[in-house]
Amino acid sequence: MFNDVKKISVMEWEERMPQVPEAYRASCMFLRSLVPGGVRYLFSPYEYSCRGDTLLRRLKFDSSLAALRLWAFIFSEKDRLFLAKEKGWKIFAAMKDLGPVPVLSYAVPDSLTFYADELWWAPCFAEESHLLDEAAKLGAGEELCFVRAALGAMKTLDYFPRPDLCIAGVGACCDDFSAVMQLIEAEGFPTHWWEMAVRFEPTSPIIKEAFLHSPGGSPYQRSGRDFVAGQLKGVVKRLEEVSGIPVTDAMLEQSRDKFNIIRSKVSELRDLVYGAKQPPLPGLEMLLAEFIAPHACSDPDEAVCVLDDLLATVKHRLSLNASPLTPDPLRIFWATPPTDAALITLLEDLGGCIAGTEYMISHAFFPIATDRHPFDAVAENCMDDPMTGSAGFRARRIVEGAKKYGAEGVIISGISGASHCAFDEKAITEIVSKELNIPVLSFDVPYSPGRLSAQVVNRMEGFMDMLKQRRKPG
Amino acid sequence: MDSIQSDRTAGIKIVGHTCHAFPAAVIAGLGMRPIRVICGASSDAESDGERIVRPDICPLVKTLLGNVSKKRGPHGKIDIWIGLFTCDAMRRGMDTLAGTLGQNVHPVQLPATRTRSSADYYADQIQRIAAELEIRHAVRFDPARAATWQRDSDAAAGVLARAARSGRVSPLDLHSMFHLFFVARPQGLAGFFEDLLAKSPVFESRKTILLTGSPLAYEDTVLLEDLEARGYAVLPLNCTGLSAVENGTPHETQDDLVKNLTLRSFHQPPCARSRPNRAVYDRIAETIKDSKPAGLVVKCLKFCDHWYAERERMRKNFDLPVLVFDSDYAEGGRERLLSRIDAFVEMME
Repeated sequence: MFNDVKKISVMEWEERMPQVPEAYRASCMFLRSLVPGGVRYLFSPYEYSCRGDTLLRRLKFDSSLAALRLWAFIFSEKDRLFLAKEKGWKIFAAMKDLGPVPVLSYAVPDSLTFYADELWWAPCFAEESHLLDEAAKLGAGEELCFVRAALGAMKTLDYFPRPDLCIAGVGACCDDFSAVMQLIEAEGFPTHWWEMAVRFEPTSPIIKEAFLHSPGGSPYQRSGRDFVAGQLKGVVKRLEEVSGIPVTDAMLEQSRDKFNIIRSKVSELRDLVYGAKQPPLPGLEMLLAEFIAPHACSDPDEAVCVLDDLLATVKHRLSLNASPLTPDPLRIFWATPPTDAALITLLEDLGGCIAGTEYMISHAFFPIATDRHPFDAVAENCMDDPMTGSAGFRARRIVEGAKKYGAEGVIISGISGASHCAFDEKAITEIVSKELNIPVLSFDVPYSPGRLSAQVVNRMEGFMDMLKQRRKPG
Repeated sequence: MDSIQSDRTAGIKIVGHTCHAFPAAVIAGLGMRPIRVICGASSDAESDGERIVRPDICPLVKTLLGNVSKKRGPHGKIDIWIGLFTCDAMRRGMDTLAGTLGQNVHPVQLPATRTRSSADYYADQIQRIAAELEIRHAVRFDPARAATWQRDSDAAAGVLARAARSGRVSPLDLHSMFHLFFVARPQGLAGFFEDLLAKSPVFESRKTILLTGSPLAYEDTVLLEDLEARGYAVLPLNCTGLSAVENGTPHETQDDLVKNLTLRSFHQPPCARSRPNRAVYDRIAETIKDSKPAGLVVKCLKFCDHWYAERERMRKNFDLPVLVFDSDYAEGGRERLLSRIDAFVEMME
């Protein structure tokens, strides 16, 4: 039953659940180092929808067990956080850097780190706005992007327990989340601020800076990396103070190695899936898998198992040339994660597939260098963050990705209110059109709980029709 | 404008910047003319900017881009821009200025945090820019020239600060004096201000309003006009007011003059973008205690997340009437703003 390759609805998954082998269920355990044997989490998407994430009922899912495990792993994160807190572990809320900080914070034993930013999806998945309403009461209204839901979540503590420390990256960051982080601190949450350096372009009038290249191939100024390394040292010092545990270089290296494994698996998965003519995994599962890279979804050990399972499924399907998508789909590169995950399902229903992404977390896929101190190596990774440089830099990364995966079009799903989107959209459209001569569709995704925005649907339909026309000979 | 043109004619480079935390004296020490460009705000300039960037962007950034693209006003006379990366909008605006508009922009990150290491990072960048300007434009940094500029600037700043704190200068006159301070050479400016104040009639205010928020462009005077007409004095506790002329946290003196000037500027009272921004609240609280204003106005530019997101916190923190509003430079916004002020004044009285 689980060998068929297709997309199924939430109720179809529900019907299949009794057939999930017990041995497989027993292999899906989180927090094995906290609870002897770990905690089972392999519940169906329907069950998670009953707990509040009702959008799951409108999505279509890959039919593999590996995908089931992925969904369950992602949606059980809050269970891990509450359980760990209850058992006395420290809970750290990383904010904004989307990748580097957990590499350091997971060096602290008996602790979990999650990203408060990722709560931006919560109102969409829950199809109700109470987190946004709570945030609005504190001053974070519609003028800010959906990351304001993180403030609401801090207030309600519905999605995570009270963090022992918030680690807030500011400076080279969007205005929206910077404002939200400030409001979080003002609500009394202990916060450590650290400065993210802007990545300068080597083509600017700068002549007195030494420029280096990151593992991601980005040129960056050495002074920025050195400054950030000092900032990260400050982060770890604060973590030591909060946890009462000295963090040694060996502990940092062990954590770095674990994250390098996770990052390499996510990278491999991306290349296998996005590089295939018939992608062996749908775009939604890939979106979820990509978001494991920044913080391992609050369980690095289980994250590795989840990714291994996905990789095995993908390799098996590639060997059979099996895909859950329609034959010969239109290849779309997607930039900026869509606030409404159902848009990915829509894209595939319209005959498309995801052929590459730039979800603003692309730095979390690059390896952390092992030939230098972790502070320097993680700082270098910070310099790869697409959001700390110019819109042109991000556009070039998108061009490289679209080229690599043979995209026929680019969709940029903007986030209403986000300070960077208004600039990104134009730069990306211009550079992609100029260098690749492929169509670009950009739109902001409004909050429309319970349904897709009709305007967005129309625009996507028109875009996909145009791409189909382009394929016709002559 | 005339003096800027005559400097250009004399071969002096005009260097534009936008933030009160930039050490203008460093530029003066290089034999160049620094000006802080918080002007040129108009509906037309904003529309011109919207041909370059999307409309949902900070009006100040849009007008900057629009004015540069049309070579309008002081913006059209800037030879070199100091691309101070402050908020995200200004950072990306400066990138657009360099990229799309091909301007000569020297990037520098103004850290949001106010730690010693971030101060040092800022100072290192300013030193780097000074060295690059020396090389690129074949000039030498003259410490005596920089020190003279700073001394004259401090003198003018002192007069302005006293005038603003006195509450006896009309809001519009005070606003003009601040903007003159941002663009004029400071030599003799203190004396000019003293003369002006001595010869001008004292503004007899009924009450004082404390003003904070985003930068207030030279032309953005609707609020000030209305309050002045009602007889209110305005205490401008923003970066185009007292925060630009009053020193903040004391700092260590360094041997290196460029570093010293930079640290001084860095420790000017910060804006809401600083992290954490408790100092902004402390300063407002202190001013409320000392000056006993009748109300607090937080004037935000549209899309200015750093200030506008503080609105509920402001209301909660201060026990006086608080008006928070956001506006752009479009003509149509005037009536909306006036009706908000009307309601606010009614509440105070």
